[in-house]
Amino acid sequence: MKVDLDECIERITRLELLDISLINFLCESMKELLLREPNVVHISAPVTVVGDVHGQFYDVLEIFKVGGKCPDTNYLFLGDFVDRGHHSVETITLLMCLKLRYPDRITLIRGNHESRSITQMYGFYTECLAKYGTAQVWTYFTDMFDFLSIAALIDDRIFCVHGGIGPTVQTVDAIRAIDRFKDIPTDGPLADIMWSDPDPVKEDFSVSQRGAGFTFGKRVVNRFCDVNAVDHILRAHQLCMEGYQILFDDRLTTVWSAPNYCYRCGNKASILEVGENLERNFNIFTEAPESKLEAPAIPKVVDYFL
Amino acid sequence: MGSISELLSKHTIGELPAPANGIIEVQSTATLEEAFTVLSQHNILSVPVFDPAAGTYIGFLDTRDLIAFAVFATEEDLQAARLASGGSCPGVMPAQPSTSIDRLIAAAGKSGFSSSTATQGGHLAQSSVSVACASSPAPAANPVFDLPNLARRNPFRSLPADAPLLEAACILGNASSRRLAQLGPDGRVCKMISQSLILKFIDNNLSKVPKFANLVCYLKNRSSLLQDIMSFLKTIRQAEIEDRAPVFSCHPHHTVGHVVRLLSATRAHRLFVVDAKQAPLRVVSIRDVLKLALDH
Repeated sequence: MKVDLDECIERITRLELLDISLINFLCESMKELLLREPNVVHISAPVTVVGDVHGQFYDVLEIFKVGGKCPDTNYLFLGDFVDRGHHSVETITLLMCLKLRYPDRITLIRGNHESRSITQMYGFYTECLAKYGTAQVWTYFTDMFDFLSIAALIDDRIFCVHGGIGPTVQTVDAIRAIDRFKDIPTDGPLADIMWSDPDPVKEDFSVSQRGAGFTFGKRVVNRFCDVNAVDHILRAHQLCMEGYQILFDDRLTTVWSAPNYCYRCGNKASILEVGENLERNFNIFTEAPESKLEAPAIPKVVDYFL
Repeated sequence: MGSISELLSKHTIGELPAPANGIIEVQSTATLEEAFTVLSQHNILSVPVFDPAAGTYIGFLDTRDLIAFAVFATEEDLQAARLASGGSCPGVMPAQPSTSIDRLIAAAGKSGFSSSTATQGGHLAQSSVSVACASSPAPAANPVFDLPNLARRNPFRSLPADAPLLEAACILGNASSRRLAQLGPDGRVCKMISQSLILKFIDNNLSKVPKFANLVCYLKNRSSLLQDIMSFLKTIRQAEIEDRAPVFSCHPHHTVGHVVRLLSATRAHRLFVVDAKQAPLRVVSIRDVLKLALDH
């Protein structure tokens, strides 16, 4: 099957859904490509790092306006492409097409939402069913998610991951050794990478209130950086009202790239431009005009039977 | 009358039934062991705590507080063991990582760790079970684990008998308020108001809300009570901004300590024990932990 990826990109940018057989082909091609990528992808600066986008397609297009088109700009997406927003299908289809078209210019790593159980709960499954009339498309995408890399290193100095680290994944080598080709479990090293959060109040690991992963403190971050000879940890996973948050004496940064999250949080978003000398510059943006017109992702929930 | 809110606004908490066996409460001067034993023996989840010196209620003691204490005490026990292995330290709790929760509670009560005094940086703090040795850095501020301070974590809220049920329902609907009391003329608790008590009232008055009774939903968002549970859960979960694991679970090989920490962190009442394929095997609850702590 010969596919014109530029045409696919053009169509999906116009919110024209690709047909099921084409989605299947693209996902299979993506799996073949990702099979060759390691757990920890090595990237050279300069690169622009993007946090959670959560199906906010118009805001993803805004990211390419603000940060520059791919392949002119190199991109690293830190996961959570789907769920919550209205256009998860279009978002993941676009990113997948860009990856296939420009494999060395865009890197996609996995987030906790790239998982069967989570996408069934937070909207992607429902959206696939609504837009395609069948859950088969969801199956194609979630099978592909199992192949996504799980971390990245920028010039061997900046460690990038979706969530964070855990007691069983305190070295980059430990992450390299993980069997990633499976759904994200609720505990263990893969869960820790996808679900953990920094805690500015604590020093060490604690069980997370999310029910998966851990919270980790300054001592853990310093030890990780020292042991693995990295300067900084970049991650996403947590909403930041200003679009980003820097912790632990500038050793950890959270990047958040979904403005007005869930069409109701009123937050800013950012992308992080890492320059050739690893200097970091935040490019902050607000929701795209088209996103402003989107209804909230869920109806208002009444607190009680009132 | 059409809506549940109309029904609840026309009735008062005084109309709710009082408990058949009277009100159980503890005094703030009791030890933690005595207080948790009361919860266990009476098979209740929480109890109001009365300060006789102040003549007022200071909060509620909840079974969840035992979880928090167990997590803290275990971490302190491990810290003490680490310090003890590095040399002698005054006031170090016995370095026994396997110390039962029961013995920790008893030790905290007997050794005076439960009295409320200010923490003195760099020296043994009588107000907590944390340990500070002169040779080690001053510890981060530790919570004080005695009955008054645990009780204050769950603020005491009360309503008079003529308060409308609607007001009680709104307070209990707020996630931070799990317990509500009705005070009698003597200023003492005469009734505990819970969500289940209000639900029971609604159940007894379904004939007054025929639309609700006929399951044609009267929720403002018009969604049907006939929706499947997964659709309902999706709505509820997506209303939360922070993601949480779809199911709180543990594996058979996990320790009780891990279960305690997970229950404490998630504020869940129970966890599923699952096998390697995530198939459920058992359920472990806060009450199970409480029984373990007091029966062990």
